[in-house]
Amino acid sequence: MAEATAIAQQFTEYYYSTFDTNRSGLQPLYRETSVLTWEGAAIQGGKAIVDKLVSLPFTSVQHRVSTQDAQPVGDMLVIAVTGQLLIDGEQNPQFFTQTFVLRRDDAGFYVQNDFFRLVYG
Amino acid sequence: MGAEKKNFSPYQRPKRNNNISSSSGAGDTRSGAGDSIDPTGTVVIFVTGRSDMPSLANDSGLYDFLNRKASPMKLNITSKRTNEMSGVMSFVVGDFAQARVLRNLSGIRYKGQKLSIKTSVDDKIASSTGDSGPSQRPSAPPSHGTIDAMRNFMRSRYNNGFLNLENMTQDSILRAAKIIPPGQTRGRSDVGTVMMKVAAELFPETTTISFAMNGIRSLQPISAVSIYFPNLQNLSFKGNNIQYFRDLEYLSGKKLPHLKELILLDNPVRDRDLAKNNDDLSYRSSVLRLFPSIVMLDQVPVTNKISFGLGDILKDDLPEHAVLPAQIKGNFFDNAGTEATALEFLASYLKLFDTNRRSLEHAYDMNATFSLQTMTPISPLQKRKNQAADNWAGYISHSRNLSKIKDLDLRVKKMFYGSKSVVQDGLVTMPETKHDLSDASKFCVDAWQTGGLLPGVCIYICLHGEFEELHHGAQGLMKSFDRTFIIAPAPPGSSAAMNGWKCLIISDQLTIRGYNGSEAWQPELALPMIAGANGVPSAVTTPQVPMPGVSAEQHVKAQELQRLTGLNYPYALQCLTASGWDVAKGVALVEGNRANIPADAWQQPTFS
Repeated sequence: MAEATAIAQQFTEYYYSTFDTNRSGLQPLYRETSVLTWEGAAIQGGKAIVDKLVSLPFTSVQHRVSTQDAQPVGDMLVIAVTGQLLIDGEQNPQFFTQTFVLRRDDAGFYVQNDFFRLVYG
Repeated sequence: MGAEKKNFSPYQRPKRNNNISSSSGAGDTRSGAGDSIDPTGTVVIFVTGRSDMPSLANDSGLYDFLNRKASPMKLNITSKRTNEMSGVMSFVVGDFAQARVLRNLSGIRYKGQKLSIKTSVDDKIASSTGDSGPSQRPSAPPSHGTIDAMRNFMRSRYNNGFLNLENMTQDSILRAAKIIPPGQTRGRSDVGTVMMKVAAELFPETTTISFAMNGIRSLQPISAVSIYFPNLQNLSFKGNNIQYFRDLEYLSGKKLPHLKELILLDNPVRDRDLAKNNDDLSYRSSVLRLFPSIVMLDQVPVTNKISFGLGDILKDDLPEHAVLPAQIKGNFFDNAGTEATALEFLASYLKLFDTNRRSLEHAYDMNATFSLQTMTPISPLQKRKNQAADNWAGYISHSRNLSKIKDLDLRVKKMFYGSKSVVQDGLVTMPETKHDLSDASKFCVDAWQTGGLLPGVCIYICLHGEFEELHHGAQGLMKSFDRTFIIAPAPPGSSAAMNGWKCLIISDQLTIRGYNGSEAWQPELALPMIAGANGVPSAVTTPQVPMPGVSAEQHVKAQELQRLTGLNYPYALQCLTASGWDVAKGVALVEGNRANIPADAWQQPTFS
């Protein structure tokens, strides 16, 4: 379990730093069966998900993770994150909460389900 | 992987001359032969409910139910069998007509479960869809001249993704070819199917079909829409003669998974319900249950609350009708079954969390995990919204924020493991709470069903909301929270099942945040289900090239704002002008003033 929490932390660090520097670089983290539920809209498939993330209406973004928790559940790893989003150099952060359900295949861990919500400040 | 849904598989079709062999699994009964009419002229029927719900096996009441629903058709049911492995019931009926009636009942609810009904002659039924009423003429293959006329008719009715099949009885092409449109009692029973096939061959990219003004009483004659246009997004039945909700079931559920908009205006089913209830809440709720993917109903965005009776679950603990607000817009469910299960579970759970937390031990799996983290307020706005004496002492000792807790032993210690520890060491040590379940707007739920870790399926539920802390019953502070549950069907005989829980909790993660209200999911973003990268639905009239005076860049921004907000093109331009051509600011402007934005500012369907 300690290992699981370390994997979770490595994952969130990698995920958000990739998101902030090169959104299209997230595609290898998703599979065709992956689903993103983004502010109540569902998007399925790695390409569609990354297209959605790339199309978000800002040019630069910085994620700051405030809290994260992870539980290994069977063959899954469930990660709950809260944090702040700084968009296009704005000083006032937006708050978000995100839950990842990770699974593992031959290529390593990938995101099976991803739930994202802005919760405002 | 195991992510596939455990719904009925059409491959569980028996071999010819071989009724279901109860000893063999689904795999080895697979047969390539589509025609498996028994030599005695019987038809094999398969019925299955949801695999994550109590099995229908040996539920003899189901036969009575089907008999009632098939009435006036009399079913001659024999050779009843249940495959315990797959949970599929099968039986034999006397003839093709009985099979067709049963097949058309697929999707109907029985004891809260949606039944999937397949027959050994589905392919024959599909090719002869239509009213089976005695006034129908038998189906001989349509002639070439008929098909050519239908093609001409379709060409005359199609424009840019929109297939306008309104008022077909008055159409000169069809009249000249003596084609009687679907839904008319004198017509061929398969005309709807043939029409859809012809249309799909010519215009597979169709996203919108209007069947307005055709005198249709049921969607059955045109049910082939879902076969030939599985990606359809917009559908209108305005001004028809649809009487009952069950007449809509031929296209309901997951048959059109990408359907975003439905119009049923000017149909008896709507008018009667509105007159009876003096409002449209019940009507809209019923339609949304049938068509869970839609975001627009009768040209009004989907915003209604739904509620549901909990039946006899936890009768002793719950009021007669526990209501969990499910404010549909903003919430996301991958299908109606997930929605019903998730909402039912949450209503029971939160009620007991507030009133009898100790009893929740039954709701957790013996290996369940629970952990808690706190996100204490940091922003000035959060602090302002909070009461001065905000207090985190009741949670902080449990908080397992991995960003702060680095010690591995401590990480292990702060996760509660097993139902007893979860409840006794975790839940009951936290302050008393009150979740205001009467107010839909305070909660937001996303839920997704998937293949799980154990045989069977599980549901991920992400719940966002707020609660009030109570201190010895006195009013306390407000807190916001996020909670992720993974739930799975409660096995028969388990402590959960014996205590009335249909599902038990495998994993529970709670994040408690400073109170910041529910504005985030209040402005109901009209975000459609996005399949792939096609953002703007083609039914929305947006000019392909910039309007005069609008630069290419501004045009792109306007389309983006339309997609994000649901504004139509002129208002998107207006909004962007006001926000200095900054899309993000435009979105904020729309969301901040949603109530004041006139109705004609929103994207309207292209239906007339």
